[in-house]
Amino acid sequence: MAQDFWRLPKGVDEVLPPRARQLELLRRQVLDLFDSWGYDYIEPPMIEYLDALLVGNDLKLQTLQVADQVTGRTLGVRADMTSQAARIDANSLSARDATGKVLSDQETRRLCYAGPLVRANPPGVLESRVPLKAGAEIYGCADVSADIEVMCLAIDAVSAAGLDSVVIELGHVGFVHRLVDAALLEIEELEIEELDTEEFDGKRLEPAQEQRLLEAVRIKSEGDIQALLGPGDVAEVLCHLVRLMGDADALADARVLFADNNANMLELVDQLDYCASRLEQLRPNAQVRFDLSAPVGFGYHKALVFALYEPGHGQAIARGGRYDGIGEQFGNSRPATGFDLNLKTLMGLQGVAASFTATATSVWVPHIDATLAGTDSVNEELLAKIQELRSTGTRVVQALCDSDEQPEHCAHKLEHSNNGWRLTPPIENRKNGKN
Amino acid sequence: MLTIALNKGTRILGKCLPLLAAAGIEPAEDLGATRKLVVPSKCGAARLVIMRGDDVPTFVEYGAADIGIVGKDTLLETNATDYYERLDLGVARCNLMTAGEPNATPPVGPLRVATKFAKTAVAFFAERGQQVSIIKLSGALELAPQLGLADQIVDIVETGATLKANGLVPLEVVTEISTRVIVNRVAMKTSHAEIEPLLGRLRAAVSARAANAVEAS
Repeated sequence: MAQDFWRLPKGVDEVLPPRARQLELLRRQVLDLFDSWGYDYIEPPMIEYLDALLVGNDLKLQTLQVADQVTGRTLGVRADMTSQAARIDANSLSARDATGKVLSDQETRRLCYAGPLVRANPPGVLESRVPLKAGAEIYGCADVSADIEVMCLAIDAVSAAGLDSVVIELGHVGFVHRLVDAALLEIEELEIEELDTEEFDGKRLEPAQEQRLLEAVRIKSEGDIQALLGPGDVAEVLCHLVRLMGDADALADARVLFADNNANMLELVDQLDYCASRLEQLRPNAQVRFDLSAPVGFGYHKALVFALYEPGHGQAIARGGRYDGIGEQFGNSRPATGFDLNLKTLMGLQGVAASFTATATSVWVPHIDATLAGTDSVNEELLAKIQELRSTGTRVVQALCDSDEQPEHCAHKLEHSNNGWRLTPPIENRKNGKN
Repeated sequence: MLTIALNKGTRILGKCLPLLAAAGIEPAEDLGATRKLVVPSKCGAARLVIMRGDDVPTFVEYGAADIGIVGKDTLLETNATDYYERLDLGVARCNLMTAGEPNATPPVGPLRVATKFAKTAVAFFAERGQQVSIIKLSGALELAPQLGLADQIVDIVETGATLKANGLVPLEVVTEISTRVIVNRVAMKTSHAEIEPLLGRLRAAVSARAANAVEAS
């Protein structure tokens, strides 16, 4: 056996006390929040048939695969829970007719979840390979009000964790998709005119090049876009688009950019504008920013997308957006919008103070030798006191033998005096009795 | 304050500092003389951090630096991919090329290619449907064909003088290389008001430099 068999695989982390307690409290806090907004909790399975996990996304390389010993089919360990929630909405929760066929329904359904995922490939240092994701999704509502609701909920979830300088960035996948389509068209038109010119040969956009173009847009590299498309209107607009980021000026610029002939694009700008104005009313503390060439998360987002950032942290802390129609392959095409966040990342940003609160009230009970401590009534009194403390949410740790010493995390001690069992120092009454 | 990561290689550094200066960012100390790795700018709006080129994308991806200035060759090879590549400074231009001995007979079996740029080389030959075995080296690639280690190399070619001196000829251009400005994704949003104007000034400096070059020629 190798000497370092105990080492964790690359990117895999374990959470230890007191952080693990903090993480679990955070998970409950976020789920309670979702619950208070009327989101029904679901618990999708850790493993499913690979085909089902990959519907509507491009997570194939991210999904850990194992053979099912029962059927020989390939099982996947989930790398994302949004697709699972979409399957549950479209298939498990949908009404069926007498023959068992799923009836397409219009009912609005709110679902939420929290659980571990596995990423087959280690992501960057800032992301765990085994994240603990919590998310909330709305199915059946195509109106932008659903998008605004999940945005507000995402902001509240992050604020509930104590982060209050959150930045929410809005984007729409449609800008890039329409322009890339236009780039393909423009090249095809060119092809007809200049079919025989040698010069054109290098400019043809093949599927691999489309991928490269999307990648160039993802990293907002104007140089790469120009190199791929050559001079032309579409290249110019795309290069301009990747610069459209930041505050409301970005939208004003976009209106100028698309002023000439592009009613479709202007409609998307209006949509972003509307969301921003609603968010400013509903969550005035969140700073709204825009990114008009926003990337496509896992390939399922098709329209409005958003991300939450905490200044100083190198990556988004929550991501979401609209992904209508994934349910189609499960027999029920439904409008869908939602978000998820990695609770481990959120906890990391909470800092030391939260970790301290998570362990603040613990009581130490020194070892009592039954034969020396005296009467049964004293012991009974002690047991009653311990039960009382525990039932009100205080942690009580009992010494197991004489040599047990008071652990550092126990700030209080239960001691016997003439007045019975008393805490030293006493626990101050806190407004919130828990924790 | 913005943190700007710079490649310590004098070739890139020497060409980037004038552009940064034109954009209003000048180091408070001579980077060539000081042993400090972090040097504030005269204007106080930024600090310059000097590091190996390979490390620049890593610092930028994780947000330890807001902005990085680094060659496209490094970006093509790095495992860090989560950053914005916002600007081509157009300096330190060169080609990444295949090179080999003149009139070499094609090998039996897969072509052996020695390179520092393994990722780029694999992609290049894969696109042409050619089987290759890549031999990863970290420098003096020209040795490999001479000593019979490889049939070809993939390396940066500026003038071709080094190749010539070692009896090699440049064969095909894999890709063009120049110095790029990369930006951390979150800094781009949260410090947009500082970064976008700086990029604008750098863009202007690049255009002015190009215009001067045209005038001079």
